[in-house]
Amino acid sequence: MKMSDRRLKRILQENPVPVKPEKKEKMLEFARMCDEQEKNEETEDGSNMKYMRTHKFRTLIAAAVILSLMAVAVTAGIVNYYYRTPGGKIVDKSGAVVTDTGNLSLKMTGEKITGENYTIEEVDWVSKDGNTTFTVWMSADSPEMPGLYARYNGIDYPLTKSFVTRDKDGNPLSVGYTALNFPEPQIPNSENRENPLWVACEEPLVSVWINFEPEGVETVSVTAHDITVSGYIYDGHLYYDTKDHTVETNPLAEITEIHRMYVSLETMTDTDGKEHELERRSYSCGEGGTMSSFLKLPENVTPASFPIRFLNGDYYLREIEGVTCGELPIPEIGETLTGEWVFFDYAGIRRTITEIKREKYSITYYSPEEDHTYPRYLPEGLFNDLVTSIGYNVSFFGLENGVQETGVLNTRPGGRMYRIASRNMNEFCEGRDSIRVGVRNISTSYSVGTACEWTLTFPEN
Amino acid sequence: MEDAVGRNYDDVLRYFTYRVRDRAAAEDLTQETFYRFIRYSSDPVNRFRTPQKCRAYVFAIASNVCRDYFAKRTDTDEIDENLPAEDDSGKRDLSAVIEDALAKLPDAQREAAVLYYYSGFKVKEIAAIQHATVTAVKSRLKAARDALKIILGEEGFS
Repeated sequence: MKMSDRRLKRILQENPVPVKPEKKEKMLEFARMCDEQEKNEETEDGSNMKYMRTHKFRTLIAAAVILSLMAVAVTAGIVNYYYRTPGGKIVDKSGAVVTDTGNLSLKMTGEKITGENYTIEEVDWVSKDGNTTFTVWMSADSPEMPGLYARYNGIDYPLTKSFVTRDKDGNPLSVGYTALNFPEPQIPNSENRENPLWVACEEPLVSVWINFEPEGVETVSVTAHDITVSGYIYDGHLYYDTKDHTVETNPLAEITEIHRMYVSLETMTDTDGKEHELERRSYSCGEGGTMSSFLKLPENVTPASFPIRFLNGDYYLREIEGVTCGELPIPEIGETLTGEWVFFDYAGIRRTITEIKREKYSITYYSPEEDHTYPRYLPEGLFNDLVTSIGYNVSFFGLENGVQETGVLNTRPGGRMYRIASRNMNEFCEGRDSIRVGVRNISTSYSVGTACEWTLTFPEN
Repeated sequence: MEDAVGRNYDDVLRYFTYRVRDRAAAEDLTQETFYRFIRYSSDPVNRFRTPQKCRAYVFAIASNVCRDYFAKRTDTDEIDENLPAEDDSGKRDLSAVIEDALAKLPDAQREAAVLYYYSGFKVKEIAAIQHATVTAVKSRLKAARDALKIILGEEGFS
């Protein structure tokens, strides 16, 4: 007879594993001591001083350090982030001015943080109500400490206290920090792509973990801090889509709107705790914030967790809709190749391409399943100097008549090829010797200006 | 704080015992959890209005501590496979069987089941602790239930 849920519950609850709390008394004693100390402080100093006095435990609670390393923060799942405008104001992501800056900064190196005259012992994070906040424990007696830096990739960024919120008694509720001289958001291009801003997420502080059930489970839930996506494992690949499986309150929704989320899945941990390097890593970012990823799992390994990193701008697409550059032949101009090339689309669905046609300014892929001509691609080699990133609108300006077209930049390694979502480039480029290309930030619609415009001259043929 | 430690210590220890299956490590992780809790609770910001909220917070810390533990654990770390010995009542037999059964579950399912059945949390609270959606937790609990029924059924409990 099949066991009922109720019976299972009873069996489980009536037979808990016995535990012997050998160190409980020690912890109780410590808690008692803390209670006593706190009580004394209230008596001697009043409630306003309690906060400052906690350093006697070598722990100053600099509560809720909301790091302002904007892109870093966003990609790490921190909803609240702040950054400095060129005018020196601290603004939040909506552009609203938060407050004037103070003098506080932090020196942070991942989990261990050190300052000049004190030590920050630990960074812990807590996710509540969709917000992830970092709490820093310091051996200092006040958050008003100068000389603090955020260290990312070996480079120190001075941090400045951007705001303090207090309760009605004047006790600090949260302290927000922002980086001094932190650069404005920039489009990573050949000149600035080495900017550490774009690789800041490689620090342990913002690396996150995803966990999922083993292969065979139809739907897997992938959680990274407060970001949850779902997907499935098929044929040794983990597929997941960050758009279709998120809940409304999930901060991922905000992240996807920014169109700048990159995922790095480089290693995985199996159920035995052993780490494996992934054989294949791929990422793609589509319009509307959809980001899909699939990766080849090592054989005979049951995955337990992946360290997942969200990068900003310094990671390249290695595939377009599941097809790597090298796997698809590039016909000569005017040539049409027929055959069958298999790939997996954004949703992880198996597709085939049966026809690849190259015209003077475009390559067209035909997929019979959808009776659909896949997006037009510009010929390889045309945009060698183009920015090496994805997720930005690209505006194409016809030099002759000012025609403008917008698409989603979707570059390959080296920026050699990208997709124009909404325009037949062959049509657009026909009859022109050159076009200008500008880049626009999708999330803010800020034009990046002339620095990110290129004039592209077409080859003779 | 003393009250919070006294009220939750055993359950947190049990939570770690199920999750890491190493008695010594479980006690260490429990200590670490309460150490963090006490430090954090000394901030007026983190005063809890109800014992249940405090309890949820303790387990959220425990979950993080456990995650850190798994992340740092090396291949050479040994798992304590010494299951509890039988006692006169024979009850411990079943608890060992259950512990074994839970150990066969994927970690996320095991954590959800332990929090639900042994720590008394609701699905929504577990979702907060696991940083997952309510749907994901429900899915984990269902999968855990199904698997436990099969495993316990094979052990002769139906």
